Amino acid sequence: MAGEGSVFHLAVRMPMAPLDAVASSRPKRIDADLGGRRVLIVDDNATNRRILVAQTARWGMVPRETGSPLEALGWLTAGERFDIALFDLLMPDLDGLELSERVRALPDADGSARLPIVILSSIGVREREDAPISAWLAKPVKPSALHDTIATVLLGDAVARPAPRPASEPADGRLGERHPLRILLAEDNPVNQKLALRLLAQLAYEPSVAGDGLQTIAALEDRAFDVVLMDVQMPELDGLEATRRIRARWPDRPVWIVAMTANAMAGDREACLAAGMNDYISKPIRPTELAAALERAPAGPAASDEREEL
Amino acid sequence: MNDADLPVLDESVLDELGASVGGDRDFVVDLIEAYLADGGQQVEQVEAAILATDTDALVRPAHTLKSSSATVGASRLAAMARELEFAGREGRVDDAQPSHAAALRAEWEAASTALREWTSRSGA
Repeated sequence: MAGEGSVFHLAVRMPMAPLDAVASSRPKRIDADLGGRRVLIVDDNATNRRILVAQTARWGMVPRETGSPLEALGWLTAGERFDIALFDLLMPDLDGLELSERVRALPDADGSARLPIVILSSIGVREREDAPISAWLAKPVKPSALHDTIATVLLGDAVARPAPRPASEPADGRLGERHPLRILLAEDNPVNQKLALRLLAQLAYEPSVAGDGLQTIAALEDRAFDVVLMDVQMPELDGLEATRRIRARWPDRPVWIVAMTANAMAGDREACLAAGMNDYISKPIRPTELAAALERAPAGPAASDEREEL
Repeated sequence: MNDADLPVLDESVLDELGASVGGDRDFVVDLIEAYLADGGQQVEQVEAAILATDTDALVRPAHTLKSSSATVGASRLAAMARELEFAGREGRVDDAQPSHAAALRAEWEAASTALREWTSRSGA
């Protein structure tokens, strides 16, 4: 894009949320209308794509998604127009930044070269100052942060002033009423189990508890759950193996499995998703991260009888 | 990571824990007491596994101790337990010697003392 007169830079930067800033993010702080905006979603991970599609559609946006950066480039080249793009950073073939460079290098006539781009990147990847993008967002992406970032990029800083909130307010205490879920907490460590139960109670959830993988499966034999919060390393049967067995045994059950693990290793998330888990939170559990993960979980049949979500 | 650089008790972890439960210090104190009541067993199981040179038996108690120590801010103990957990997983007997068990025991005592001081200082 050297020599082009139309390099587009928004003065918006959403830095990667450092761990100590996570507590400040709240669901939908910005009251902005995103309805009808077209969003291009490119992520090689099908589960992540599904989550991004569901979230943006919920705000009335019109998502179009692909796992292939080259297909996305093809759409843009063919003249398809979008208001904003969400690119995963780590993808095979073409990563999110390379894809951004390619988009910027498109002929300027149709405007795609100036498409606002948000890069979604995993923990540990630092913001790059010179990247030709509008904003960075840390994964796993919280709905509130995604909403606020899109609103800020599309509508500018003026709408993006967060509503003031009391600093010490705990996470959304009515989430369990607004988004009811039957939760099974699979955690063997008594200290962490106690903490998780407390954090769930604060969100107005009343989970059942299993102390290892075998108990988890026994609990699922007994009754239906919408969400399993699954410690990855449990005795008897670990979370990955328990998940594989659950998926093999009940392929049609829509149980949403969220991994909880202290290992911040890069391959962990992939291992969890490969085993059939839907989402991932890190330990020690933070209330906002937990709330965001539960918000991403689809409400179960029993719950959606009462309320329509997603 | 050098374990020696880590604090016996990282109070910022406890502060954050308190904030995450809406400033309910009683809950934090309860959690610490659950940890103190439970952790000693894991230290004993680690010692027993090391004395028996049974690296398989080392993994579970070291893992549990690592995880709950991290939750209550006993950072150095968490790091030592983590080392032992991985020594156990990888069957590295040289890294799971009686001297390691003794060091873990000493760190457990130090962390317990620091946590008790913290709870009494917090006025609970």
